[in-house]
Amino acid sequence: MAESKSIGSLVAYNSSTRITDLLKMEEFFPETEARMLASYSIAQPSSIRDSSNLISSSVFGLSANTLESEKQLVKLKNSTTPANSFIPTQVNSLAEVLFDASAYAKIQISQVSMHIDVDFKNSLFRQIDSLLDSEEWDPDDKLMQRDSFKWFLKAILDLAPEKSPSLGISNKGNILSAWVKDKNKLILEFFPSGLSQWSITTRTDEFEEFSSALVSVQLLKEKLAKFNPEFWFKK
Amino acid sequence: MKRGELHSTDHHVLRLVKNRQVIRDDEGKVLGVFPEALELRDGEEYLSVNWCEHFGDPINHSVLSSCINSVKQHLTVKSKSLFVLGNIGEIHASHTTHSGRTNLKIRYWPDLRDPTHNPSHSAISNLDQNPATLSKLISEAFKSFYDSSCNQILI
Repeated sequence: MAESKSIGSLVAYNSSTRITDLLKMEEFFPETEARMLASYSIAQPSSIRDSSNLISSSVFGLSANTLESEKQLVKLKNSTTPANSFIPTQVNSLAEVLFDASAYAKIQISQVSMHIDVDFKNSLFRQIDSLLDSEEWDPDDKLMQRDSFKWFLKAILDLAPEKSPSLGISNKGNILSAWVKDKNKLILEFFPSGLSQWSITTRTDEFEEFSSALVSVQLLKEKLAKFNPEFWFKK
Repeated sequence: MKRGELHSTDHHVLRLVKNRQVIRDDEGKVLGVFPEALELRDGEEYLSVNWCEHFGDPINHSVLSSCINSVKQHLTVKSKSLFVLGNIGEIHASHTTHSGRTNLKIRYWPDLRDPTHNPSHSAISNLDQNPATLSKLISEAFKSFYDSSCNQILI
């Protein structure tokens, strides 16, 4: 018991114990407990991670209540949260999930807002609100894919259009963006893998031309250059 | 009425387009629809549409209104959803021209086993999913847009 107490004190004292140190403790503690401590150190908020009481109770976890608390904490750590998924769960209503998706998109935009015009940013915000409006959203539809949105933003920074695009979401959750001028359209679809499908429709009095290709977002600017994208991007 | 292919090239079908598939300007004005509005979802064998002339021939505002109201009774139609109207003859012509395929079928296809079925439900099968074909279909065959109250939207 004296030895246990001293080990417990050690852990309680070093509340910011490193993972490697915790894993070394396997020789003192049952394997699961040491790993549990390590996982707390990695994933829990600082208020929990730094709690001496919590760690020492994990070490001495003899009471049923303590073990139950630990189980609940592990459950919390592993549960699906809005931070890592837009998929509705029993806990999250559709409205909450849409709100989270909208917040995610706006945060992503805000992080690069120094590179884009305020009106442009506001336009994207308005469209995101409209697209992810819970009154309009069909619960059976697939929500916006995060990686698709990231690639869309990357393309916006590369292409630097003056005019904001019209946004849409495909059946697969990919971001769609369109620039329309008279009967001419430039449409981009962004896949989570970093590919983009561009489609250009140009119409004259006599006929309509259509071009389309699948390219890496990294090459989008270069590939679109020969189609005079400024025609759509200029205000 | 029996299920079967819709042969009349002067008849029309109506497709419900969700808000996320509508192209709008910054003020919300409709500029068009994304070609993805005609894209099949995973597992779908055909594109669901509604045959307008089921409610009266020739088509007029009243017939169109009956068709839209019927769809609203069977599907959840949100306020920002749209309907695009396509002529059967133009759908066939555009699809054949741009896909090179001649096997497109537009069939009257209600679920007769369901007593509350959508009476005008129809199916477009063998629809080429190439973005070029879908884009052309939207611009050449689905040219008229209506809101959920059957008001035409001029673009």
